Amino acid sequence: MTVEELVREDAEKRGWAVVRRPRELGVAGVPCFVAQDIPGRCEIWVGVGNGSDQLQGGLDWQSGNVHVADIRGLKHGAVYDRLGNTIGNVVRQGDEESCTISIKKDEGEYLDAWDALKIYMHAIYGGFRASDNSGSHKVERPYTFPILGERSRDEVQWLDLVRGEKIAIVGLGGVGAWIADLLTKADVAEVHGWDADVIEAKNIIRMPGAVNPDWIGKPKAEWFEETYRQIHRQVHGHPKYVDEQTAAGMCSNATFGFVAVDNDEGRKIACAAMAAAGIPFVDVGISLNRRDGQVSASIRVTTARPHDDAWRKAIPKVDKAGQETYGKLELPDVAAVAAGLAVQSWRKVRGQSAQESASECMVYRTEADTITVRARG
Amino acid sequence: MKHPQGPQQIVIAGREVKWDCATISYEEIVAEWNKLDPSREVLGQPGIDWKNEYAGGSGILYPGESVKVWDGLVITIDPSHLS
Repeated sequence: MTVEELVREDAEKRGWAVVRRPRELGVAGVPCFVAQDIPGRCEIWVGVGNGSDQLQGGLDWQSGNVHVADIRGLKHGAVYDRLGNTIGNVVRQGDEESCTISIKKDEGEYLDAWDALKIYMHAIYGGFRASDNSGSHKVERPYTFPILGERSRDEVQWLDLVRGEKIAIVGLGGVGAWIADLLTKADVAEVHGWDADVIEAKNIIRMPGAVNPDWIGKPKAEWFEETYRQIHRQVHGHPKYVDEQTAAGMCSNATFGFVAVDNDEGRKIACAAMAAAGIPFVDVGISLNRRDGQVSASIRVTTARPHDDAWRKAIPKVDKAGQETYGKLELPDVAAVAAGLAVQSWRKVRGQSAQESASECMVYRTEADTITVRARG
Repeated sequence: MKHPQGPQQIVIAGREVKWDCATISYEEIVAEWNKLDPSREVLGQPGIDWKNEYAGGSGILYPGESVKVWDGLVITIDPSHLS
């Protein structure tokens, strides 16, 4: 196996994106400490020749050094390990969000850009996973009540993979409300729900829990914020339709998105805005078919990673087709499964759940009890 | 290109169809589905997946792509995508 294949396999397994630009080679989404004791994700870039795998200088951030790496997505101009030490020799601290570091290879020179990328990835991810010697660790959790504060090192690392996550959920209908329910219990930093619609009677038997009928006629976003703030400190409801302006605001404060809306236009705007902002997202939708007195359902989940445009073909564009059937059927079980599959996809992108190969699109069919998966190409 | 073994029996959205080409594309599937059931014309870009009940294998088809045709190919179309 070549070094490039090793890097790609490692990145794929952990849900990171390998990105090639004309003069830079990088990997995005690597867990690290973006400031002391603040977990997050960074991008690691090395300089390459145009169309070549060899390390090459000449980029502004390299400051004349060929073997250095530029680390982006930081908070205090350095990348740290779990014990609070800076990683690498910082040769440039351009701004708070990036720094250029140098790490010498133990033996000899880097073979090429892939070799350098591998060393930097291992140093930064290794620093994220580095242990101290004590048996249990206090962990700050986002809930309004005390819950299992002491965790083992492995458990803390697992929670740290999503501890800085800021989620945007577009659509708080049948599926989106279930996604919101699951994510407010997933140890993420913030959950933002976007929906301008009001709660109708039919929504009450589709949404999780027992929604008080007094909420009928009031905004779903308001219900979401008021209900889930009882258990999570950072829950925000935004009673707004998705348009170019709200989409920009949605992305400015999000690290991951879920799209669960019925209309093509809103879906397209939300997905395009997240892709443009480099935010990974999951789109989910249901198709129902009523035949011979029975109902069959399919659930389609598309997982979009930064710098990957396959979602444009994977997500159906059928606007509100089938809404009449959908509107007359209350299937909270199907909505809950759809939300569960979507949230599992998020856990896989973030490295919390294991996966054999990264899925780009999956379809679950209730009548056949099958899941068809399309892996990333 | 014609199928080397002549017309094959495939299923599109629950309807049996004889298909005599070696492959069928996403766009041909949508057109065929609209012919089979004009009352429910599929608009836009529906979700399509397939499985081959005899030879095994399954997959998700995107616009612009094709799948090889063999007896036992079952193609499913999801005409809606709602949340």
